[in-house]
Amino acid sequence: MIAILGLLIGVGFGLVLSPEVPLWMQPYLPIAVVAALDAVFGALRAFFDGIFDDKVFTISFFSNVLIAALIVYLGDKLGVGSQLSTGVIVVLGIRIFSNVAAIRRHIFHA
Amino acid sequence: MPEPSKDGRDRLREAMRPRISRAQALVGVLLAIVGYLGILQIRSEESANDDLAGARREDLLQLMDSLDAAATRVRTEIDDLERRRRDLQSSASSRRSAITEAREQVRSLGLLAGTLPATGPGIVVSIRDPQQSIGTSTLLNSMEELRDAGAEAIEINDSVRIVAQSAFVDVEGGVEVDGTLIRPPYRIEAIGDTHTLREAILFPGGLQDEVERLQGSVSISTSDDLDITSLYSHDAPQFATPSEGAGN
Repeated sequence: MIAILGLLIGVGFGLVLSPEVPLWMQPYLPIAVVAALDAVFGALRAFFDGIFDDKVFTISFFSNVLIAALIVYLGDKLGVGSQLSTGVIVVLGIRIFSNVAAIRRHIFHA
Repeated sequence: MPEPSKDGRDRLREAMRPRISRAQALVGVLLAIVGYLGILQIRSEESANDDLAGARREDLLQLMDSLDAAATRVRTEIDDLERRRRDLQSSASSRRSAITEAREQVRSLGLLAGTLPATGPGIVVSIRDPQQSIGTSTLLNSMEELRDAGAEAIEINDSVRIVAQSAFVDVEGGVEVDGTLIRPPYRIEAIGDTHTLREAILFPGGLQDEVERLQGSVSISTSDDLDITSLYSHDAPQFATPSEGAGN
């Protein structure tokens, strides 16, 4: 309940404030968002599995975001930023899909 | 570890109950961050060059080609218009110079034709003729001598302008020039080089000698600022027209 409220509040803030993304953040933001989504879906799956732990979720959330940003930064420095970003997105996408599949099985038993 | 009998739906139902726990609050905060950042990213993507970023390479190339073509077309048009402007400007300036030239010519022809008043350096020849013995031939001679000496405008007695068409007729008591009676003493004003004009009158066997032979006398005065104000009025030519190709 509160989780969904939090999501709505965040979206509302983003819509109302609509601030400019600082330049240094621009390459990292999309990856960070996808990584955060991955963490959220992972947490949701864990929740349905009954093994959800808020500490684990918090740590995985921030570490996901941090590592994603780090990989993009490294890729930028090595000159393969866009390829590496694509790779990260692919991996996170696969993880999100598998998590969502698990969640689906829990909800629909199918 | 919750009891294993619970399945996903039960947990979901349970979680939906409004109840504050540390885990719920934490998840709420983190989801708020995700939502905020996600909206931020979507917004920045939308504002950054709207639809071009998502366009395919072929589309972009095509777009660029068409823009190039349009730019070339516009540039050609600009060149064209500039060339036309230059043409118009040069034609305007040449027309202006032609007008200036024509006006100049009108002035000089007007002086020659006697339709414009003239001013300039020249001489005044006064011929006294107590015997009434001076006629057209003497006056004509004097005109010719003056013309020969480069007189540009000639006037007799402040009343008749001498031009190419001027005609002299002997009449009682004087000479009729272009229908105007001129009586002695004759006063001929001529604009031109004063020295040459003087010589034209004074040379041996010239006008002075001729007049003196006819019992008259000639006196000459020079002036740097002679005004000839009488005009000759031309009728439009009745028979003569310019030949084909003349005037250019």
